[in-house]
Amino acid sequence: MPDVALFGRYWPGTSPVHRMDARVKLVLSFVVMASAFAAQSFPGLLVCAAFVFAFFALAGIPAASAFRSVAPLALIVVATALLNVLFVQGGDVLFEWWIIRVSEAGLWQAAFVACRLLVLLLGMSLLTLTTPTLDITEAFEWLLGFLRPLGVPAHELGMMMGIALRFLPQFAFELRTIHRAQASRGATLSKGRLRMLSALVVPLFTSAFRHADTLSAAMDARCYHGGVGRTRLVPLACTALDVRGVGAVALMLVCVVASNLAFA
Amino acid sequence: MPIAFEGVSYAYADPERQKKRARRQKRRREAGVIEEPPSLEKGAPTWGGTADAVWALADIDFTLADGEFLGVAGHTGSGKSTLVQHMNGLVRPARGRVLFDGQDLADKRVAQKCRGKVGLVFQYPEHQLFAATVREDVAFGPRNLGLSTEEVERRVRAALEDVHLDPEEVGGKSPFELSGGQQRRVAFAGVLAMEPRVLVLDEPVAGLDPVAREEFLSLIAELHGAGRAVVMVSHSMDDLARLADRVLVLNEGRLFFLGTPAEVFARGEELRAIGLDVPAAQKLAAELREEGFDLPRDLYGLESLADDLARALTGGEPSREPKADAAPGRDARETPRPSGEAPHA
Repeated sequence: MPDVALFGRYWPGTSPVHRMDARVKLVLSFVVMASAFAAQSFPGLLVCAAFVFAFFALAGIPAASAFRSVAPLALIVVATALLNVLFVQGGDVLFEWWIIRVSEAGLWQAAFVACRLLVLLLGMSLLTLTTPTLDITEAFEWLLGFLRPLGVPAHELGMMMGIALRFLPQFAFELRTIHRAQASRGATLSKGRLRMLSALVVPLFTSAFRHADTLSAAMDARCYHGGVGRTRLVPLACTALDVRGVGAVALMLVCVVASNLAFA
Repeated sequence: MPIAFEGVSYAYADPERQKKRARRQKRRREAGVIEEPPSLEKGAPTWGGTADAVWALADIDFTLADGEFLGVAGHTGSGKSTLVQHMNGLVRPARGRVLFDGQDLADKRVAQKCRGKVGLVFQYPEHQLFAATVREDVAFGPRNLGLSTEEVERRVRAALEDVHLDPEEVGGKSPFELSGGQQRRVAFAGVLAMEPRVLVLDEPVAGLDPVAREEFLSLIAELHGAGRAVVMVSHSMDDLARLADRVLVLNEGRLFFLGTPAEVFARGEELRAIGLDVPAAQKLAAELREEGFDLPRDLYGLESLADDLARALTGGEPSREPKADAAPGRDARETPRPSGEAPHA
């Protein structure tokens, strides 16, 4: 399997963050996200970032790896920041050309939004970095469980998410092989783009269908019949660790709100 | 010499970063942050790569001669596929260089040009079929070379005939209607239509039934007989012994041994130690020799072993050729070379 850079690939470990219940972590990651949005000023954001980095340290994930895990999404951060530079006006005008006007307030706002987005992405990637996909799927299914009485197929949605996550690197790998095979037959992306595209996409789709066929047969062979009455070998369980985790994130939210009030 | 490897090394990721990663893993393991991998009795596997291995290929040196048949053997993950993908510049070495007709394949234009001359057939090539008809699919390569319509048409016909498919019968069909074996032939024809001088095959008979397998191997022997150099990756030592002029053995990305089949398969013990084996007939011959049979040849195929055994058991005259002209590596070939083709050493 190739080294395909993926957002928050699982980073094996036995830290307290790793050992926490996936459901608790899923909910808490939403709270972390909310507190990043709650921060209204740089000091608030700084508090938020300090907590997120403390969580990373607790999980034993080096800062460089943390940033690398969100690198594929850096484009979104940059694009959002640029929009803010262009559309938020106020204060001294630093640069003006044609319809572009860069003002002080715009720059501050852009920096703020970029930092907030970065903290938010880091918080989300901490979940995927410290939780195996199977557990995330399970937690996701549990979270949707409340909607089951309304007819939402929670288990099926969870299973679909799990399978999609599982096959992402697989398809990235196959796409590379197909690309190399067609390149061996003299195809280049620069000339005959359309033909090259179909030469890549058609085999990828047939392969996806082939995988779907074998996977469903393999699931049938192991008596898979949907979520009803399905048990887990290792059931998710809340422990004292999770209580402490909830406490830590609650403290974070309180600090962020307090700093908002203090620096308002 | 169409293809020369000079000190070629390849790493999947940046070697520096990989080394750093390995060091960090070790630190983390020592600090108890991550658990030791659950080891079998001896810990590390006795053969095969580890996940922490930095280099996929290390210091590979060899030259492929014109018209030669080179077999490539090695355990799973030994770098065989990576090696063959260097041969038309798909993968560029991290260190060292690969020369095609004396030109460095690291140059993109050289690599692009060589793709018409080095035909690379991937594992399970039928998975790369995409066009609406067989004819269209086979024409993909020649069209990419920018040939005229008539020339493309001629090459498609010739390539389909080369793989023993009837252009009239299957040409207009969808490749997805055909059987697995036929699909592979079509994919093969797609590469042959480029009219390559060197044919590089990555496990060409994997997953075929015995009959299709035999047909395919004799097809490969035919293509080689027509003067093309062939590089064939295979897990079947029997096939390599039968077809190859030389066999290159890889172990954990290193060149373990390169020599004639007779030389390579004389090292049964070493091959077994790296997860490979010797051809069945060769193995039986070695065992019989230990039992006191007089089996003088260096390399045995099924027929030559049967001949010598019959002679030894009846105590009579040699039934076929005398042992004097039993050149190593020649006898074992059950597939006769088409006449007029000089063997290459």
